[in-house]
Parts: sequence; C-alpha cells; structure tokens
Amino acid sequence: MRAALVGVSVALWCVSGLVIWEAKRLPVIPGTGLGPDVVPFWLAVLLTVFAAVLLAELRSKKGKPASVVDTAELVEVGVVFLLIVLYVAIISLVGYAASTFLLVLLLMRRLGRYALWKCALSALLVSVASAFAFRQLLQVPLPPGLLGF
Amino acid sequence: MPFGSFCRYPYPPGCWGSDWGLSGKQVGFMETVGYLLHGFGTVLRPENVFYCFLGVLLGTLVGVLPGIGPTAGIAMLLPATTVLDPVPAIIMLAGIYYGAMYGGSTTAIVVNIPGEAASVPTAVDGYQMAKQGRAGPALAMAAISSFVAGTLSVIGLTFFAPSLARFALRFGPPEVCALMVLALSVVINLSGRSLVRGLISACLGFLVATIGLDPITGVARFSFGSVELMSGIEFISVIVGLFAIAEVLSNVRMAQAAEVFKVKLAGLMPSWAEIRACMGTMLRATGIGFFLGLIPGCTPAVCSFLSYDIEKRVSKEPEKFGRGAIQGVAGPEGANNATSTAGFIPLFCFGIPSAPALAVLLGGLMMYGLQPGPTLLEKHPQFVWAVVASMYIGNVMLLVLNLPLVPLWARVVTIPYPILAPLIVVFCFLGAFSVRMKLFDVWVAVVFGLIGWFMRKLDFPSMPLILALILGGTFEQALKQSLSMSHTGLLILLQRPIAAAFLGLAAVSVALSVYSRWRLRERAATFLGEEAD
Amino acid sequence: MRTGTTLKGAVLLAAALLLAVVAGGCAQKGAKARDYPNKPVTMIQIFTAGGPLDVQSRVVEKYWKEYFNNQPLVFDYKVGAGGQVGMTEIARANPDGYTIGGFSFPHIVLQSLGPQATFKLEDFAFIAQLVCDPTVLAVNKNSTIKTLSDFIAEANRKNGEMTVGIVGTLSGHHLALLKMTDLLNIKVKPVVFPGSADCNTALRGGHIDAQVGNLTDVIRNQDAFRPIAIASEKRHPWLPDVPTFRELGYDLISDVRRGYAAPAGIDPAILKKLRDGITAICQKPEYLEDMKKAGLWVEFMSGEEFYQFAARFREEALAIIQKHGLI
Repeated sequence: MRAALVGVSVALWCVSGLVIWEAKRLPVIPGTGLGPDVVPFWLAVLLTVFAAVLLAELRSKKGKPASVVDTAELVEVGVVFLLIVLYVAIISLVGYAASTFLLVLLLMRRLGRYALWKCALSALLVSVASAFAFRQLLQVPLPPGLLGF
Repeated sequence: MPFGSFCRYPYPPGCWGSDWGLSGKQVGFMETVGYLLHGFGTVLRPENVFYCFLGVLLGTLVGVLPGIGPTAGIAMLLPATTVLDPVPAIIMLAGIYYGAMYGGSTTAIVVNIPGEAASVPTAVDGYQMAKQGRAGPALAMAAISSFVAGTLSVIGLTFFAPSLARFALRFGPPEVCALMVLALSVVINLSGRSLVRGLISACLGFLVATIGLDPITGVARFSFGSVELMSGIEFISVIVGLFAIAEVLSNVRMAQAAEVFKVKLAGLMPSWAEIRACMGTMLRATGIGFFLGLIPGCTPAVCSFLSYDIEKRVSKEPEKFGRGAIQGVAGPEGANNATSTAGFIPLFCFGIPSAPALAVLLGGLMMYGLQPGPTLLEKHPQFVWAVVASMYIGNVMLLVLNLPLVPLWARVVTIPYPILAPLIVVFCFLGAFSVRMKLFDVWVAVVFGLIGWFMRKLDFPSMPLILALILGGTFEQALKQSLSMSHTGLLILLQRPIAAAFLGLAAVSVALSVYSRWRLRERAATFLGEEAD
Repeated sequence: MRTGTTLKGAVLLAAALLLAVVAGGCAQKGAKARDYPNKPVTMIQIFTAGGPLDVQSRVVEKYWKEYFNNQPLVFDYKVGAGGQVGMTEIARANPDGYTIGGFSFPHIVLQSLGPQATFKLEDFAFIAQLVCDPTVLAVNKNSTIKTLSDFIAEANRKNGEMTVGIVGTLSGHHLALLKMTDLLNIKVKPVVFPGSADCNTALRGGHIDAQVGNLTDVIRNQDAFRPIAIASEKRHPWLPDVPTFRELGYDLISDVRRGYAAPAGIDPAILKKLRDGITAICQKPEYLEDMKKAGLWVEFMSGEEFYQFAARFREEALAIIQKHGLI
C-alpha cells in the first residue's frame, strides 16, 4: 500500500507537470476573458498540493498493513485485463461477432472452468444475438472486420 | 444589474393561482383543471395512447442501454414527425425523454452499469443492495420513487409552469456558477474515509472534463492533434469503465473461488417499513429535482447527486450510504425524474431546451411549425394540454411497465458471476461504442476500467471523479461568462442575491461536512483508545 | 532476335493491358456517374439533431428520393467541437459522392483559419447554399434602448462595460461584433455563449445588455426581444420595421448561411448531378412551404457562387482577425 501510494503521488506530480506544460502552450485569443489555460493550470496546482498531502499523511501513519494485492491476484487481473484489451484490439480485424465469441469463450472458461462446449455454446449465442440486436434493430454499425461479420 | 425594474417578476398570488396566459391574462385554478381534462380527452384516444406507450417503452429501453441515450433515441424517431400528426408524435418523443430516466436505474442496480450519468448515485447503493440479494426492493423502489416524483412534477408543471419559467430566467451565469460551486462542495461528503483522496479524485475528474474544446474560446485543449479528443471524453465511457469494467476486474479473484458466487434473492418488493422510510426522501427528491431542474445547467445528473447528498445528511444512519441504503436509490431516482419533467417548462414556455434531448424535441416542434413560446398556448392549446395530459398517463404506464419486470431483472443477479462477467464486458463494449460509433470511446472505457481498479485497490472514491466530470464544463463556462459580464471581477457572485445565497449554502455545506468528519474521527479515536491525529 | 521479339511482344502486351485498365476505369467512372446514386447517400450532420441545419436537412430529405434514383438519404451525426469534427469528416470522406455533408458558413471558413484548424476551404466542393440567416442586433424589450443611436449612446455612457452576447469565439457573430464596434466606434464587453439557446436565455433574463444573433433566434423570441438593426442589404420581409445597418450609415453585412458540400476530389459528373438535384428540390413549392413553416429563410445560391463568396469572405475575415490580433 505504501509503495503504491507513493507511486500514485509521483504519478500525480507527473500528470500535473504535463498539464501545466501543455496548458502554457495553448493559444490565447485576446479579448475573450480568461484564457483556456487558466482552469487546467490551477487544477494542476491543486493536484500537486493534494498529492503532497497524501504523502504527508503516509508519513504520519506508522507501519500500514501489508500489501493490497498479492502476486496471484495481480496475475489473474492482468490476464483478464489483457483479454479485454485484445478483444478491443482485434475487433476491427476480425469483426464484432468473432471477437465477442472468443472473448466470452475465453473469459467463461478462465473464470468459471466450465466445460469447453458449454462456453462455446454460450459464446455463440451471445455474439449472434447481440450482433443481430444492435446491427439490425438499433442500426448501430458494429465493426465488421475483415471477415465481414 | 442591467435592468433594475426588470428583475422583479410578478409572482402568482397564493399557490392556487396559475397563469398559463403568458400574455398577461390571469387564468384560475378551475380553468386550468378544465383545460387539463380537455387534454385528457384528446390523449385518451386509442391512437394517442398507443404512441404514448410506444414512447415510454422505447424510453425505458434507451435508458437501460448505456450509450444510446434519450438524445439518440429521439433523433432516431424524429422522422416520425413527417408521417404523424403533431400530437401523437410529440407525445411519443416526450415519452422517450422522461421514460429514459426510469430505465437507467435497471442496469445500474443489477450489474453496476449506470445507463446514463443520472443513474450513477443509484448504482452506488443499488448495486450493493443487489449484492445483498435485495435487487428486487431496489428496482421496485426506483420505479415507485420515479413515479411519485414524476407525477408530482407534472402536477407542478400543470399549474405553475409560466411563473416557474419566468423565475428560472433570473438564473444567469453567476447563479449557475454559484450553484455549481454548491454541487461541487458535495464532493466532500462523498469522499468516504479519506478527504484528500476524494479531492484528488475530483481534481482528476475536472481535468478530464477540460479535455476537448474550451467552452468559451473554442480552443482545443489536450487534444494532441486527435479529432476524437477534440470533442472531449464521453461520460458514458468513463462511467462504464469506472463502474463496470473495474468491478469485473475486482471480482476476478472471487469469481474463481471454489464456491460459485451466488446471491439468494430475499424478497422482491420493498417492505412497508422501507417504503415509509422513503416517503420523506421522495418528497425531498421531487423538490430538489423539480426546482433545480428549471435552472439551465442543472441536468438530471446534477440533481440526482445533490439528492443523494441531502439524503445522506438527513439520514439517521448515514454510514449505511454506500453499503445499500434504500434512500440512496429512492432519492436520486426521484430527483432525476423530477428534473426531466421540469425540463419541459422552459421548453414549452420559451422554447429553451435545457438538455440536448430537448433540443432535438424542439427540432421536432419546428418541423410542425409549432413555435414554442407564449403564442404556442394561445394558438394551439389543444396540443399543449394533450402533451401535458399524456405525461400523467405516461408515468402510470411506466410504473405498470417496470414493476412487473422487477422479478425478471432481479434474477439477473443470480446468474453465476463467471457467466455474468463476460456478458458485462460485451455490454460495456456495446454501450461505449454506441455513443459515437467510434472504437476510441471503447478504448477510453478500457483505460478507465484499469484506472477504476487501481482506485478501488487504493481506496480512492470514484463518485467525486464522476461528479467533477459532469460539472466541470458547466462550472468553467459559467465562471468565465460571469467574469465577462462583471465589472467587479469575481465579486459579481456575491453581489447578486441568488448567487450569494447558493454560495452561502455551499459554505454551510462544506462547514457541516468538515465538522461531521472531524466528529467521526474524534469518536472513532476515543473508541479505539488511540490519540486523535 | 527471338528475345527481341518476345521483349517487344511483352511491352506491347503490357501497354495494351494498361490501356485496357485505364479505359475500363474511365468507363467505370462514367458508368458510376451515370447511375449515381445506386445506393443510399450518407449526409454527415455536424450539429446535433433539432438544430436549424438538421431541420433543413430533414425537409430536403423529404424530397430527396424523387430526384436521386429513389435512393434514401441517410443521416450520420458527427457532432462536436462546434462543427469542426463533422466538417473534418466531410473533408476526409471518400470522394465517391456517397458521402456529403451539411455545413454552416462562416464557421467553415473561420474554423479553417483558426489556430487548430484540421481542414482548408480547398478540401470541399460546395453543392449549394440553401438558407441565409442575417445577423441582427437585439436587446430585451424592457430595455430603454430603442434605436441604434440609443445603443451607441448607451455604449459610450457605460464606457466599455456594456455586455453584448455572442455565440462562439472566432464565429460569424464574433466577427460581426468586431466589425460593428469598429464601424460604430464603440467599445463593448463580449460575453461568449456556446450555443444560441444559452445566449437567448441570457438576453431574455436580462443578464446581458444586448445580443448579436441570428434572425431565426430573434423571430423565435419576438415576444421578448427588440431587434435594433439587421446586417443585410435590404430590409427583411419578416422584420419590416427593423432598419438595416446600411441605411443607418454603417456598411455592415453579416449572415450565417447553411448549405451542402462534398469532399473535394469528387467526380465532376457526380457533383453536377448533386448540384442539379438539390437545385431542383429547392425550387419545389412544397419545399418552400415546409421551410417557411419551420421558420427558415430560404435563399438559394449555386455551389460555385457560394464557393467564390466563401473565398472572398476568407480574405476579409483574415484581415479583421489579424487586425484585432486574434491569431
């Protein structure tokens, strides 16, 4: 927890720095009152202050309880997150229906360890039904990908 | 102030007087009732009843789906204005708008995916109730509260619309700015255990709100050359990521546990005790939503957050909020319905749309050549009263539609998590994608999903982030406009009575929150026998 | 020698193939133009549904099929960044003629001049102008200002503290305000609103002293606004009592025009078809009736003329912007 919070404070300082730098580069159009850089600048300043307070709070508390997340959980979450990222990444390549099928299949298998055929069947159902509902009924142009569906 | 005498509007005498005759004619209570009954006569024809039902049904569906909001729903059905008469068409489109507020709570409660920003506070306590097996009471309470608030608001609209509309005109940029300060001060109450984490969360939300075009100068901020970023970060992506995807990531471990994560349903309807406990909540929510909803910039989302805050303050058990307090569902749901109904007041009285969906509806009126304003009532009284009457019927239909579906929706919670989680991910994709049909929004949702997971692990509250995201743009715009209008810089906020009143309330709210946090820490410290920091 | 012949033969064959491909392509292009459109045409909408541009497009859509091979006109909303997102989409769209878009002038010119422009005027081929919305200076009905001279007097009396509402920075209204203050030799405080609904509400509520807005807004709010002067060449039939800036001695012409455009690389034959079709629709009496009902003032201008107009305006706008140091 300590390490994570220190990391967060440092990250917040970096974000503030980036915001201030970017804000200063914005074009200011005279005669229109407060420029576009004012609000982000002061927000970044506030963020820096709060990040410092966060660190200070850490200092004052003695030995906080150990870790927030053990390695096993980190791995599990990482895998699921990776699956989600891959899902969105390949969707424009293989199309909505195919990638949804793969996602549901893999996630169900990984999270619930059901029989492969059960996962496959549910995945098929979900991908076809949702593709139909959104493409046909709601006219949402889901990415067709190279495969066309 | 520009016009001294102009700023004092005539108020109706007493509370029964109403003056729908905006051209100065005073119209009495009985006459209004007469007009309303006439309106019912028009609406209760089979054709109009059908379109009313279609409108509220579509509204509910549109509300359930994140991504396709009432704006898109109304826009999709706008071509109906070329084939239908004005009365059934507008009844249907109006039904979509206030019906969407009923639907948003369903997915918020059952799978922690708010259908739109106005359902975010509902998701907080509603989902906790669902995890405890009380999804049924939560859903039912949401529907009941929406009905009560919606109906009471339509009654307010019937009798007081013109005076309220004129009163609402007194809220200029300084008043809106002060109201935003009041709404932002609510952040302190929503910060949970650690105030500084809540404040950091709010700052981040505000910064995300600045991405896109500056509301006044139109300069693109933090867009890094991308046209998508130039239009800003979509709410729905952030909400879907922070709530749903982060939840899925947090539950991964638990889903794989040896025992399947199962929830047993404990009852499908709220108990009488619970309903009684919510009576005050529903009335307060109606008040907040209806009156604040008249102010430009005060969207259903803002009012639902404010209602949540008020409920937490007046409750005898504030610690239950965030863990499944039923008032935390009744309040926001009632408030967002009251606000959506109040939105029709400036629309019909002056043609001022207070929400994008209403702007689309206004376009529909334009197609018929119906110019909203004082002349609308004089020239087309039948039309106006028919639409008003349809709102009463619409609310009843929505209650009848939603209550019987409660058992069905409640059972979604009993689906084993390993099956539910992938469905949620797919649903999130569809929701985020449907907003602008761009994959970019989905990536934003995924990124916020990761951020949301980190925030949960490190105990950073997400409500302040969302609230700041919702309010940031309006606040900045109102602030800059007030400064443009003012001869005295920021002091304009204190020189105008309504703005000063809001700022005063904000100060009181901050003081009370800080005090109660300090008291809580003192109590906890003495209880645990440690020294207070 | 044999290799020589084979080589010659190969070159000839290649040339013949190339010729065939090119000819086929041209023929296809001709064929494409001949039976254009043979599938639905997408119109990119740059502002949200319900606004004047959208209403205008819906009226056009009503009559589209009979002039365009019975193919429907499909709307695609790409809103954001004050129209810039949509206009960029139009500029970058496939120039096969199946994607066109509605746009607003002078937004299209001014955004192309702005510090963060993502397109140029040359990226578009204009199809036609459909409506023209002159700029009107208006005050609240309860105000003491009744004529333009009152307005100038009041502005001088307030010594630069008079608040005038406009919609958008670097927009048509902003430019009109700058030109107006130059011509009238006064100083005012502009208050910028992101949309006309907000600006109208503020004027109605008396939070700003005056507004530089569109004719449509003034007509819509006739019960609460008093128009002082209109920036058109002649008095407008919908506001016959309002003097023009010209007759009062100030040469101020400013308006918002809305029309349709296609991406620049479009096949001229297809562009001609689009232009002819839209021109025909705009002459139908039913169309004129519908537009009047919707409160939109029809003023047709052909695509080429509109483009020249826009190009001339660009020069003028650049001069004003640079004079006031806005970029």
